[in-house]
Amino acid sequence: MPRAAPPDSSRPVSFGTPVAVSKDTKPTIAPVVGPDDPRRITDSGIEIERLYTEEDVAENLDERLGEPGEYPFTRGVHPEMYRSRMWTMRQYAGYATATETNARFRYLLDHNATGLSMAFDLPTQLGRDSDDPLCLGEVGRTGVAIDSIDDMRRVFDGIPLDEVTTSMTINAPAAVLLLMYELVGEEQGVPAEKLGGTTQNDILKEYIARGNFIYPPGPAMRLTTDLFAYTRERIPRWNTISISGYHMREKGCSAVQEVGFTIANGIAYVQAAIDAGLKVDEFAPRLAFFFNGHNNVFQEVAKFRAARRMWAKIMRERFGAENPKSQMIRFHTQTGGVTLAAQQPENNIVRVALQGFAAVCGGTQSLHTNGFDEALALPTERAARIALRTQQIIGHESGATDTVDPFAGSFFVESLTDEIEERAQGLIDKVEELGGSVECIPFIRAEVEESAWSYEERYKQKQDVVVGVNEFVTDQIDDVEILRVDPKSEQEQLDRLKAYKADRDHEELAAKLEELRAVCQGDGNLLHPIRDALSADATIGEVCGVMREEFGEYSEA
Amino acid sequence: MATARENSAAWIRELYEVWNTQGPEGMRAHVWHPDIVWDEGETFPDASRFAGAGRVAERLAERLEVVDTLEVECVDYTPLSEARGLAELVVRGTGASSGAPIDFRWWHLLELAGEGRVTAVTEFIDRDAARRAAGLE
Repeated sequence: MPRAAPPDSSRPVSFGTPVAVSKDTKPTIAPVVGPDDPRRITDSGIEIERLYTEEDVAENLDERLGEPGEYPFTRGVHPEMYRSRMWTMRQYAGYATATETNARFRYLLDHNATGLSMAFDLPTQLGRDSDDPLCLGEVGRTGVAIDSIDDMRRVFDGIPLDEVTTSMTINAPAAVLLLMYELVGEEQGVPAEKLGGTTQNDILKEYIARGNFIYPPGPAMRLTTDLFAYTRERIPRWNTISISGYHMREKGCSAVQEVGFTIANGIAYVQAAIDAGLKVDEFAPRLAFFFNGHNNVFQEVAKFRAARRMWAKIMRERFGAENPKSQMIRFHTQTGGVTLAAQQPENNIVRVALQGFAAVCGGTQSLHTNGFDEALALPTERAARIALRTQQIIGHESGATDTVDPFAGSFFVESLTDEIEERAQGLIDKVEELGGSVECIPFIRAEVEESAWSYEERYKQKQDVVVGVNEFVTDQIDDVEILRVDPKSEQEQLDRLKAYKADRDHEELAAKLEELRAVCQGDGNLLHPIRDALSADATIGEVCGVMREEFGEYSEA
Repeated sequence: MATARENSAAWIRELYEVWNTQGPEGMRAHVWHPDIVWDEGETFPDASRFAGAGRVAERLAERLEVVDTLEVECVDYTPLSEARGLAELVVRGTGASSGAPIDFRWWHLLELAGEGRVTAVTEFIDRDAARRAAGLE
């Protein structure tokens, strides 16, 4: 019989680098225990009991619940919730050129969407022009290409900006896109104070999960808080930031981590704004949040309720916010892109319906429901319509809107809400111990990566069943129509940009860019010189280029 | 007197002790044949096949980069021939950052070379699939 060489040590080998193991706190991700383990455990490591009774709900529930529309907002941010006003049905859209995106926006508005959500291509998200050699092949792929105010003008052609609210998924160059939007509004005769919408503007989660950052955290946080100050003065209805757990969940974090790390990031933004001289009740009412919707309806409902309660306490007790609007989490939900399967894609319609239902029962202020084909490509018009209809069915047929906070008082959901709050608070405490979100990006990233690994292992082992993917599979390939972006649209964008760049007052442009540079070197609000540069026909690449030169670029390494 | 099955089970347990104390690099140095083929098994969605001890060590290290400790215990070994057998393993460990527990069963269908090296591993997370592949069912 062959023999192996004997081991030369008796210590277990360590594979990863422990960052901050917290053995004394409850788990926030599920253990990997294989498919035969009889326990029912959520992705957050919460073991679900066979039956929940009164004994599973801690004392003083009334205090933890409060009334809807009142502190601590567990039951929702409005006393009537959807009985008086439906959530905003905001479908994320945008691809190829401004003209094609304009057509999709008009299509959605014609089908009773009540808000717009703008998807940008990667070059725009990274503050680069479409003619940048690094962007070849990426123009118009993941969203619309916006190089200049001319593109923004085309996107909103025929859409009065005082009649819609627009959410923009834009972060590192958020200030640039907001100012383009403001300038287009002015051209339409819409004063800035009538503009409504949201810039995502959440750079911390870019470092943690999404990867579309430009500058190092210091100047990036300066841009964030400069935008807070600018909008307070000029665009008071604008939601200055959408503090996003969505992308961390997409990257693989659990529901508890989503709450914990999102709120930890929120604390960092509030502190940065206070440090920049703003008063909490002046900016906090315009903070918005963005969460993911996954399939476990009960945990998701509990997650939203716990997040509201936690934020209210933090804002009141830690930051001294007095305005109830500063204490309430108003949030957008998007159904989980990562939960969509390429196999048997029509099953995704059901997943999206469950996720949307959970978001509504959890009290979301706006909702995007994914197209069922989005594991394959950007959604077709048909898929986008079904997604919107899903929301309308939830709103008008499910009964979810008839009463406020419909799961309240359920032994199970109240127990889950408490569990999520306790575990998420443990994570926030850990982040605080490490110096806050800005200082402990590697810790948060490691936690999210471990959870993602755990998801993958649980799925591989069929501990977590994904219908049509690791169980109930078929050999048949479902043939669904998918959207293909016409490669000609990239060339059209390049041609238009070339013409735009040729037809400008180059001297004035250079002067405005130099003014921006000077402010970068000082401590003035950056949005004013950015606006002046855009008015002088600067492109996004030129504006962000000056700031790149002054602030440098962040690297994960 | 130990039976042949007991002897081979004891030897296989020693192999996995190398894993426990030295990780993939130890396996590469002492257990795996340089041309080992590691098959992630048909029951793994998106499974792949890796050839060569270096590539296999690299792949396993990638898979385990968020794990703190991971110990593998061979709890049963069924010899199928002199050069082939099915190992049933219990895997226990913790996540590197959260400390979340890891505890599951794993089956390795092993092929062995005369010089004391493992030449092929096919892994399974499903007992029945492992036994079917081994020709035991």
